[in-house]
Amino acid sequence: MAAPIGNLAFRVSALLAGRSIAQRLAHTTTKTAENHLRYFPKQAALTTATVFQPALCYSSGTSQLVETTDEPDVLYKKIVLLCKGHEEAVLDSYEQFVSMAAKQLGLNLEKIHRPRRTYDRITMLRSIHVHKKAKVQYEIRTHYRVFHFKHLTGSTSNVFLEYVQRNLPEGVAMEVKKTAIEKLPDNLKPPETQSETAPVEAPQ
Amino acid sequence: MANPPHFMGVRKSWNSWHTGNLWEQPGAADRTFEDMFVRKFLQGTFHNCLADEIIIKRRHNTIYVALLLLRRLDPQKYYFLLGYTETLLSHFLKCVVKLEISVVPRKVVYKYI
Repeated sequence: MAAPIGNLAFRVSALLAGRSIAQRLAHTTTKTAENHLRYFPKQAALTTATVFQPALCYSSGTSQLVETTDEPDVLYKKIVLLCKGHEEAVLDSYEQFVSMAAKQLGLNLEKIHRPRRTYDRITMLRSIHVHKKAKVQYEIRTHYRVFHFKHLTGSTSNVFLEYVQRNLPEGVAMEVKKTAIEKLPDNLKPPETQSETAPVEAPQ
Repeated sequence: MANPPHFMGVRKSWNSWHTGNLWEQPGAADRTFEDMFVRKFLQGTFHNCLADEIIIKRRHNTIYVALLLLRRLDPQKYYFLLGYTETLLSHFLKCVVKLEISVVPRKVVYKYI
């Protein structure tokens, strides 16, 4: 589709062409719908036509894309992803994908470890009747990859896990284990330090 | 054999992709049964038109079925059968079923000797 690409390029080029850095920064901070229409008056006419407008606008406010709530975010000390698959090559490429995504988003991917493959073996009789000595053996191999992430917030983990799980290849299973940090309950007190306790006299 | 068992994962792969047969994963029998049903159904609806095996891939709640068809019927009839199988299989299997079909002039070569 040439139309949306043209619109986006027009907006970006008009935004950034022939302006200094200060001007560009100043422009990106002024984000209102009226400003947008003022800079691009032709857009108002275009809305009557059935042109697909991309959802992410360079000049619109970030408040439309990000939700804010008052409750504090969940904090995860570690998140462990265990991926199982029948083929090593598929898991290798998925490992590359996950590590590249984590690097792009600046997540702390502490370790990727590859546990030993497991075999599920079955021995069956070859013949339908008699011939007990003739058997056939089958095996099913499962390969593993384990990703250890450290210190993530709830919102980050939601976004990252959704992205990574949407791109799971068929035939690959994933198990997620999350370790969250919680506030100590009020009825429990933290352990007292040495200086706070009174010196204990030795029994005579 | 065209591709003996030691080529599994190297030159030979599977017709059906799901997580049921992985270590400690449930649902292998259910997936196998669904696969058999889908294959019989497709063999019946596209009778004599299938060029090759039917590939079934399961991703989240969708089942992608890849077919190769011969140029036996008109495109209009293929479009109708495509919609028919997608709706019926979605209702039978209670999940989204998507068919990906390619029409080829003749049967596909499996291996050159």
